[in-house]
Amino acid sequence: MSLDFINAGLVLSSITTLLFIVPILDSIERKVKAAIHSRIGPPILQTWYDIRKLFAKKLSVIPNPFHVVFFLFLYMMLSIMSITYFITAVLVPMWNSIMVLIILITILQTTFIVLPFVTSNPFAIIGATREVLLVLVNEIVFFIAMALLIFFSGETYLSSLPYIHPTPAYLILAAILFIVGYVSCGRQPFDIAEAEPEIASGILVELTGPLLGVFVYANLVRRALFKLIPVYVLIAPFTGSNMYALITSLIILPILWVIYAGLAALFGRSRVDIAPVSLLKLYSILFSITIILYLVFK
Amino acid sequence: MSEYIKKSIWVFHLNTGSCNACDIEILDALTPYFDAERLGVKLVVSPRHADALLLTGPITYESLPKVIRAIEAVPRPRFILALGSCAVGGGIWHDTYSTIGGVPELLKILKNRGIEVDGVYYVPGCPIRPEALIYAVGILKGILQKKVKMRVRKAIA
Ligand code: SF4
Repeated sequence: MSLDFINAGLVLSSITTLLFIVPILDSIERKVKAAIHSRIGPPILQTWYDIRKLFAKKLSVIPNPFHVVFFLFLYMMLSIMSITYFITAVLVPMWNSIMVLIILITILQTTFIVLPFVTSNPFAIIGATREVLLVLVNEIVFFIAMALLIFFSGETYLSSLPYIHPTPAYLILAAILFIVGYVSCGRQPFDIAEAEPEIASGILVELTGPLLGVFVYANLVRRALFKLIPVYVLIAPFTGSNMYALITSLIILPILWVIYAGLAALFGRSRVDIAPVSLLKLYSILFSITIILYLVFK
Repeated sequence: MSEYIKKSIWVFHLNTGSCNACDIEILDALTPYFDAERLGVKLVVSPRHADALLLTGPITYESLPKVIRAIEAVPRPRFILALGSCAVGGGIWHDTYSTIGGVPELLKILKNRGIEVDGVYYVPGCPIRPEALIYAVGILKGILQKKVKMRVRKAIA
């Protein structure tokens, strides 16, 4: 009973902390970039200030408002729901939780790529078309990686991952999930949808005021989710307890956020015809290695 | 002015027929050397995301409809930073046939059309200095005081 209380408290505190801290992580990223430029940079709460400001602005009527608002709120709810489900499933054993997470993330990603299409702005649609190609490759790889995860570990519970034995094949799988997470965050060189100078802010161009605020926040939550999953998968077998694994993942999250920002600073934007193909090649090599390793060390 | 805007000013760069010298100074003000981001300033690429317009140029008749549409697209509260002598009062294009003569004239047109602007900040100079632009942001944020009063005199025909 007491363990249930601890778990419930941990679930609640992790989710609230995460939801509060995610915009701060973005500010930290901006601060680190500023430090690289030898400048002061924005305050640590800058992204919160931005979001709060956006909510204080007047809501302008945009084309096709019903669909835009519907998909936008669906996107925000799904981001928050997925991260909540992930944390709950890590702490409380839930049968088939990996499968449910895959389904949630699929719907989340679909909403993300549908949203710009319903704004009916040509610039947004060009950005979205670019994103679709990338998401197609990335999502399929995510399914396969998660399916292999279930196959290698023999578990469908996220909370059981700390009790499995980490094999080399499993570790390569975690590396694949890291790459999937990086690409899903839309950072360079995979920020082809956000090709800002060329096509006016990519997919966000029509969103304004509070609607933009909702999108910015939901996007940050989605980014956090795509960092938490690979970190948890990688470190869970080494911690031996799901509670420790979650706490360690939450501690690693800001560090990983900054590392991703540093990595993004090293790359330029890729081309829409090159990015999906080179990703596919990279994933094929990694999948071949993981399957060979699995067969060798079985 | 809303306290929220003071902490996060997203700007959209709007050239209305300037000679581009002011525009280059704007780019300069946004470089790491001047570090406008420390004041919460961020350059956005759509007027729909902006709080303030960095308006350069004397507003030519050709650009006027687009300028009005861009201002309309900025959700309220919206501000205009009139940058350079051209935007402040027409500059060397004062009273010429193809320009309306800067932001004061634009404000009259906007008023006639019922488009409200919540604040205008004038930054004179030909071209403006990046420091002057940062100073204007400081006034917008309420941390600096206005230096001079602006008065535009029409040439007597
Ligand atoms: S104020 Fe001077 S520098 Fe600026 S746009 Fe006008 S003419 Fe060019």
